[in-house]
Amino acid sequence: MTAHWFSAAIWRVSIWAFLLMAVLIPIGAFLVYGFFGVEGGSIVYTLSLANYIEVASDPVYRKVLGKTLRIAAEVSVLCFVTGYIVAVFINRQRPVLKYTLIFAVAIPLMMSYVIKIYSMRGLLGHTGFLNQFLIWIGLIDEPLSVFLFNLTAVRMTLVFALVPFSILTTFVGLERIPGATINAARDLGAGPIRIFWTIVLPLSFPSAVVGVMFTFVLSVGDFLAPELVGGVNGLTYGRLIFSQFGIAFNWPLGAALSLVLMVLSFAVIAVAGRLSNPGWLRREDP
Amino acid sequence: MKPVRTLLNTIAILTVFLLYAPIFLVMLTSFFSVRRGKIIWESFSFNWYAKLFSNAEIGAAVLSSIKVGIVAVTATLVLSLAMSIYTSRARTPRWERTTISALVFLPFLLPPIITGMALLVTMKEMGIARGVNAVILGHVVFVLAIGFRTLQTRLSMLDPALIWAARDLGAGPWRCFFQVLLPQLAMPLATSAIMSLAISFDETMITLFIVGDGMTLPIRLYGMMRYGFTPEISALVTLVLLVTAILTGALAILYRGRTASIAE
Amino acid sequence: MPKLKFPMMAVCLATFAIGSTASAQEVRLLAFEGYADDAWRVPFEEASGCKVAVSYVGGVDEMFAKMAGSDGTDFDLVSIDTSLYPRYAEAGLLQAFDDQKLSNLNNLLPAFQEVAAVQDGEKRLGIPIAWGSQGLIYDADELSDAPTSWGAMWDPENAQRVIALDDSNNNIVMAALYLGFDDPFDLTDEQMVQVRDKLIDLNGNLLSYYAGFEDGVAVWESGAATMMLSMGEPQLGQLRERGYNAVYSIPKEGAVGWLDTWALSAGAGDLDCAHAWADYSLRPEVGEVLNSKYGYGPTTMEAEGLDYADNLVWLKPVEDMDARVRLWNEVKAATK
Repeated sequence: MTAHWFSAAIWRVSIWAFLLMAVLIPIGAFLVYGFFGVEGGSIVYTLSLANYIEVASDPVYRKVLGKTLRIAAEVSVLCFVTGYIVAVFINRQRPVLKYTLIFAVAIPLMMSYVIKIYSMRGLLGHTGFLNQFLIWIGLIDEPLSVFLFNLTAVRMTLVFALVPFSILTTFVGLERIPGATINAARDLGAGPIRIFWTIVLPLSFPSAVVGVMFTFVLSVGDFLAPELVGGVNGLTYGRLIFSQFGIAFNWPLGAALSLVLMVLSFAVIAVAGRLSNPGWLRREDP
Repeated sequence: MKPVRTLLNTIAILTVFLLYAPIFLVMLTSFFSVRRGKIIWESFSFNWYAKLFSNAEIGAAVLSSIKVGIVAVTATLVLSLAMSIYTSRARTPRWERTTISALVFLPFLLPPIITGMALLVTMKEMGIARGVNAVILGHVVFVLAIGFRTLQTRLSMLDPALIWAARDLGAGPWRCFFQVLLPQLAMPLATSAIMSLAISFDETMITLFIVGDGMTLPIRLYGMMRYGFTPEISALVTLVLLVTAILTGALAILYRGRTASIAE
Repeated sequence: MPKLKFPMMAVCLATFAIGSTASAQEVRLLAFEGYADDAWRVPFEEASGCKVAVSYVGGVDEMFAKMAGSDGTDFDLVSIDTSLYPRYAEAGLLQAFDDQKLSNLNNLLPAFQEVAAVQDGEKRLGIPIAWGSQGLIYDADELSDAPTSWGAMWDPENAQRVIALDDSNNNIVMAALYLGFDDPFDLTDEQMVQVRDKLIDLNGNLLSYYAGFEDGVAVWESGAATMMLSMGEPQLGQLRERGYNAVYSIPKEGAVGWLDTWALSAGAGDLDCAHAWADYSLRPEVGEVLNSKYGYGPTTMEAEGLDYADNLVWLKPVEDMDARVRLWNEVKAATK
């Protein structure tokens, strides 16, 4: 795309001005706090690596970070798989139904997250509808408490809250695959499995990976779902960060903890970005 | 093949259905009282809707959330369109692409509380008033990554021949943009808008710090978490979803009309 | 379609440009739910001519973050409990009230007239508005013996049926009371370790933590709990409303008593309106609503049922807030 669509200088200056003023300066300056310290309830502005050493050496942070990353990864994979299945299903419908369904998937996104989590409790809890349903069909006699207040409940809640993001992004990729390409392949004798592996998957993969990215980032920083449905296991890294900004008044440590999370998320995004550039998938490229 | 396909279809239908399960529950509690998991059918009433409409505080919070959402999403789409096209041009140096992408992703990757605190402290230092306008800026910064990445992915998949062909046929840059590029980007733009709007409408952690003495719906709900939600909130959520459904329904019809005309 | 774009951009730019217009007379509150109810907010606005803008927060942490991040300039009055005064004062976020502008001070019950924690020498930093306790709530239908000690929370018989408020200080104080330490607000390092181990023990017995008044009740219901470290009296009413035979008790070791106050922000704008609001909060009809609608203990009248104030251990400033938050994070991270 070498077209001169616009006077490049103006675009360039405005893009950079916005990014500098609204992103780099505020956030960059704040992350510098990670190198400061705290003494007697006030921030000491001398540079040191003490916070990072603490983050690296204290088993609490490592353990919670590991758990948080694991949950986020599991949730993203679940969202990827479920999202893909749903997006393929929707994409195969006739146009009217297709666009109705894709918008229907988006509507639950407009439901407040907090209310959604509370509602999940109403569904999964001891007096919840899942238990009543299971009793009604005769599978159990007494309500069970195993559906709520554990990490499985956290995963389920996050997947249901975030899967619309993967469905939507995957759909964007699927939707642009021309029907003619698939028909041509079919005419040439390719079976459905071969069509999927050589055409549909490579062409939609980049968009699906974008969905994974979003679900990962949105779940890794969340602490409401773990806290509200995770029971005693509900402590996640996001809450650890948050607690430093409250009455603990340890902004420097909070900034250091955040930077660690950011670097790790960046690594995940970089890998995902590599994957979404499907050089390795496009074996039959001209 | 058949059983696999049936299984996958079942999973898809079940997922869509389950996405609505929490919504149905909330709708129920807006009309009925639920006691220890049992719905009391005789308790049907519109009382909570009446209470909701006389609650000026909630009404103001909803309106300001809608305002924030619309303005933030519009600004996000314009910015991410400009940025994604700019970084997709072959002439843009590699370092610039990488840096712009990194800066766009920075606030998205950081825990929102950091972005919120950073904006609060910066605005305080620079004497910028906190409030609804600050929140709009905060939301744009946060959701920019979504529009940017979605559009960038689609642009990287576009066939450059399309543009060359248009140029060869004598289309100017703006015509090229509106008649060739934009229609190709319609679906990514629409999904980015939906996702950004959804996030903006429910953003809590950035908003919390820069909302000043203003109020948005998620902030109001977050405050209510401490004492407890009333079924008024169920009524509110039901109404919000209903309006969303009507609006998206209208959009779907519009969009169908448009794709049909392109296909012809 | 292309034509739509430019008006939209114009609208967007215009909205950015409109600054927030501060009204002449206004009081900006940073408060918990219930402390600015319409029942007295509306009459106050009419009587004083001051507009009230309330920002509700979910917990003490974001309250402090919002105040510290803006150096207090975003708010005029903030509702904090007595234990937080040193933290806010250290950060330079408070200023003293002018008693001359407070005509209703005499409405305060004698016990709340001179609360040491909110006095800085002669200067008054806080005005008490509501109090409560964090007792033990249990389900009398489910437990054969009425528990009299916090020890019941650790009893294996109640495993997975106990819930606790998710708050560093309140759990630490509760454990310190149970362990029989003299001053639960000034623990030695040795005592801190014991408290930590005790709370990690408790973790194994707990079903979940909860975040707020009704949240506790919701967790109780969806998890079939029978006992909780309560956040306060309002939960008793909420549980009974849902048909549980709940009992509120102050165990023999004592329980935390909290006292919420209005504190004047160092960055307060309209001092007259701020004083007027704080003063208005001391009117009897405000105490009446705080008690009858929310179940809080008012500071201007004796409230029915709230007769155990003498058995409470009133929240005080602690030796090291940061250390307590660390300890709490360690406790919560200790589960599998």
